[in-house]
Amino acid sequence: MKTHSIKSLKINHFIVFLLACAVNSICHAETKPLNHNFAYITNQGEDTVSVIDTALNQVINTIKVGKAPVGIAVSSTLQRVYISNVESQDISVIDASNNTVIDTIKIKGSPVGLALSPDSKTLYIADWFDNRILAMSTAQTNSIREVNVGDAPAGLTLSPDKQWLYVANRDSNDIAIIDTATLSINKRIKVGKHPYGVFISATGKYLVSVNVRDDSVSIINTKTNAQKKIKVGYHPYCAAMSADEKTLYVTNTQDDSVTVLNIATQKPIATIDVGNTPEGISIDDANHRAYIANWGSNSVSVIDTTTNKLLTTIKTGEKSRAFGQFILVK
Amino acid sequence: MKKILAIIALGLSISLVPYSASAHGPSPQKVEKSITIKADPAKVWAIVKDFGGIHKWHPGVASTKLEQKKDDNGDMATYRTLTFKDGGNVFEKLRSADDATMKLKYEIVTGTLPLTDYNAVMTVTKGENAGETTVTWVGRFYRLYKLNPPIPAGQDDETAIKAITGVFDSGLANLKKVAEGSK
Repeated sequence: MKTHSIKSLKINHFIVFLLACAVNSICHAETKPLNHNFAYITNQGEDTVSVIDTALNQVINTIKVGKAPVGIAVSSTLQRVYISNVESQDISVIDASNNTVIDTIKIKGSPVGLALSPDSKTLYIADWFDNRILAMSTAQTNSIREVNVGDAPAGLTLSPDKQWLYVANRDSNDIAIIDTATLSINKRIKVGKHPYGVFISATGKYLVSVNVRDDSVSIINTKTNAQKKIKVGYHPYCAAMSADEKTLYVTNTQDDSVTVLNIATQKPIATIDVGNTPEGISIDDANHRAYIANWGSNSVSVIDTTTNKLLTTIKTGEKSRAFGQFILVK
Repeated sequence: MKKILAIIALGLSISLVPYSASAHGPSPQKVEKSITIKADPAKVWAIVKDFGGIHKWHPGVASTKLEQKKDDNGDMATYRTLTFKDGGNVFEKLRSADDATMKLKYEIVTGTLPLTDYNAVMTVTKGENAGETTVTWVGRFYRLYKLNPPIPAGQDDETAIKAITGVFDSGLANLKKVAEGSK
């Protein structure tokens, strides 16, 4: 039954694609059909998650979760999506095969940032107020370890070899590097004022810290910890790098724009106007598109990363945030 | 004696923490209000962009003091202090007043309103009909309370939203009167 419905969905999408091609000459430039990946967008103001099919750029589902969802982590391996509901102090677990909530896990504290280990075995949860990180087993969600970090931990990310967890301590102005084997702090690196989002590049070569109050990003060489600070727009929140590690996209919340930086020259190459108060950003590398959640205009902006132009804007839900890596590959 | 002084100093620093510029809550709040005014956009924008003249149209503001001084980065910036008719006050920084887009952006530095990390945009646009203008006022801010729940009454999201809703509703209603009345 499930197989059947998925198959018919795929056929429908294929028909839509063919129809779109029949009326749209742009299709001739597309040599291969787009991948149906999925962007999961948390909507803080209406306690929901919007699911966008990235081939169609349409919302295909809206899922009710806990109160004031903000953070997100997706596992393409498990086909699971984890949502932090900061005001109801719990985590919603979504089964991506049918987009239903299959579990709600109570958390001590106020969960904001989320990240999964590359093997999807551990979900890391940042508690905004109690200055600690929880490490929860995805197989056994009552198994939770914890480590104390700096003040107001926000963004989380892991090295591709899963050895290191990076934590942006917003009010300590540093990044804590945590050894995931022992769950202890190995090092703390000073960055700019109020780091919020963090991003690790595909090979783990670069770590990016987005420094809200400095209007900058710190690009850190993970081997040497050498750091280069680059100015972006007003009050940036989050960043995402292309899989080839050549281009970085940064959301500027109070300029309603995205800054595009060239990693090699460390210079901005474009500024793209998006919706109001853009927060979360993730890149669908297969389709060469960046998705940006606009808190202020309740929408998602889609940027074509081959041209660095705005492709379309998708209406989502009230106060979209999507803090974390939110593209799920089927 | 030294020990007592140290304890007092510690007490002071702790009580100041919630009002520092650093930490805020995890969920930003938003109030967005619009009004249609029967006057030309240029005329309405002239009133809105006058950062030191808000008391001329906002019924809750008794007086405005405008000043130029250096900000945290050492750059010159424009600030205003509003004194409310109910006795409260607020110290605000002008971020931009752009004639091309008719957008006024500003933020609260300190003040007596029950909220924190507030910034706002007032946008003036051409209305649907000739000679009409739409003014949109959007505020983004956090509740006052900065610890895990339970959240005390008077420091929650609802209190902050109510305060700003009151400021926007009364302000826009009177801005309409003033803009439509003055020739």
